[in-house]
Amino acid sequence: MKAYVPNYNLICPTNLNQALNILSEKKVKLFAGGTDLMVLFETGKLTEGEYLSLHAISELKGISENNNEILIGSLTTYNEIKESLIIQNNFPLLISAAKVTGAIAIQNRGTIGGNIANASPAADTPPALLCYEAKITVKNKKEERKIDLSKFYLDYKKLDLAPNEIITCIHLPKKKIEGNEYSFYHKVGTREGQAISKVCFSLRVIIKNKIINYFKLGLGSVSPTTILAIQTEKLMAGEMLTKVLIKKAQNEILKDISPIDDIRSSAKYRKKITQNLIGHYLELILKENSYK
Amino acid sequence: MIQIEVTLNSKKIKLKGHPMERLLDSIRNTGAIGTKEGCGEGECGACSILLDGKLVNSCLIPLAQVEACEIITVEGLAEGKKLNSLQQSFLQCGGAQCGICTPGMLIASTYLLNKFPIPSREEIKEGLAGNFCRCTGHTKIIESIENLNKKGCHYEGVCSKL
Ligand SMILES: Cc1cc2nc3c(=O)[nH]c(=O)nc-3n(C[C@H](O)[C@H](O)[C@H](O)COP(=O)(O)OP(=O)(O)OC[C@H]3O[C@@H](n4cnc5c(N)ncnc54)[C@H](O)[C@@H]3O)c2cc1C
Ligand code: FES
Ligand code: FES
Repeated sequence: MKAYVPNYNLICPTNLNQALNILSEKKVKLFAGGTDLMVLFETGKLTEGEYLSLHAISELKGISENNNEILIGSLTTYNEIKESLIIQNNFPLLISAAKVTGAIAIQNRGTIGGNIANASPAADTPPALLCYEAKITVKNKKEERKIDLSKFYLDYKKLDLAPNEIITCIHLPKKKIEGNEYSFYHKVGTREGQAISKVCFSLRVIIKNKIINYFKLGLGSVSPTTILAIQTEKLMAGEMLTKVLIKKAQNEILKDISPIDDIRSSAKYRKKITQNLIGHYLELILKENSYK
Repeated sequence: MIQIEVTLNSKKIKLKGHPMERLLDSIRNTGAIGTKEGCGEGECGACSILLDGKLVNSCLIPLAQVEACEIITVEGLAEGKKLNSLQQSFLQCGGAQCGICTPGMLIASTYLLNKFPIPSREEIKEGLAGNFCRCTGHTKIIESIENLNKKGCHYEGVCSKL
């Protein structure tokens, strides 16, 4: 253990108002499941000072729904997401993401709010959430804002989040789009569960009468933040899926991504893998639709 | 410093320490040193415990977060002086060598068996994916759990919150 424990404090409010009050009065950093922060702590890299634990705030837990959306409390764990019937039935990409995030002990403790706020470009749930046009609510003592997750990531580890704000909730719209829905989640890493992604690929396509009615591609580890492939989406939406279009998409994707070399992989490999994954999964969809 | 009350292996006790002290250290400081430290970073599972019935890594949990929780460690598995059927199966099948990973393996297996009383090989592998053994290889550990199935003795839960 490299950290000097007495130089840290962890306060544990039991409701959201208490937490927001504390945040408005003094400089404290948020602490949820701790699965990112405790690793920094262990290695002596966690900034010393006072932290505010969200673990006892029941308003931030659990999954519910209203007419238009499914609401996931930011403190909801991977395990709770995996076991939720509403999520299983409507958001398969999120289930796949939860399943490949860490091993079971991490899934029992790590939270979806922590995964979003940790802002790792390699985080495994944002690519899935982006495919469902997720929004998040952030609150401070005075007001709350609801923002698109796709606009939340500003740059590497930079978020549209003030120090006095808490992410309280993730919203997944219940939008029905006509056609057949295909979704594929693929994490490329040395081991599926525990390893950090080299590339995280989350694709959601809806086809109606051979025309691409909806196209979202969420990606991790290929840019300074997790991203939606906007250029590729523009190319694909409204088009008829053909072999030629798939080839074009494989080129277009290079405009969306800007991978780097690091200890886990190289930029060249990441580009190639992303192109191959697009090719592979779009071919699968094409095959299915050429019989219809 | 804080003082909180927890239930450790069915006994109510008080834990005293700094709020950010790792639960792993607080538990070991009570004298219950069955729970081991391997990596200290959530990767190896040597520090696995059941917290309110859920499998977690005690190296990643700060003391302040476990007020009023129920904790089961490897010391809570035996029935008095008698090893439970899972522990006996590890003995019979050579599921332990140096023993460092064993407490974590037993706890992760307990969680698994509470969910899937007769787990498939795939379920066992997934259930133990966060636990590393550097001695026996994982085959004998998997066999220790499968051996339990063959004998048809289902594992009985140890945690009231499961
Ligand atoms: C062994 C291991 C394996 C892992 N594998 C994966 C993996 O495969 N894929 C993956 O994506 N991640 C992985 N992780 C990382 C981690 O588990 C996840 O990012 C997890 O979701 C973090 O959630 P947490 O609640 O533990 O966050 P914490 O560690 O508590 O916090 C992380 C950050 O988020 C902030 N934060 C937390 N909650 C909020 C909130 N509600 N509002 C605003 N800010 C908040 C904190 O201030 C902190 O900066 C792994 C970690 C370990 C130790
Ligand atoms: S010591 Fe906790 S997981 Fe390795
Ligand atoms: S028995 Fe030695 S590490 Fe598993």
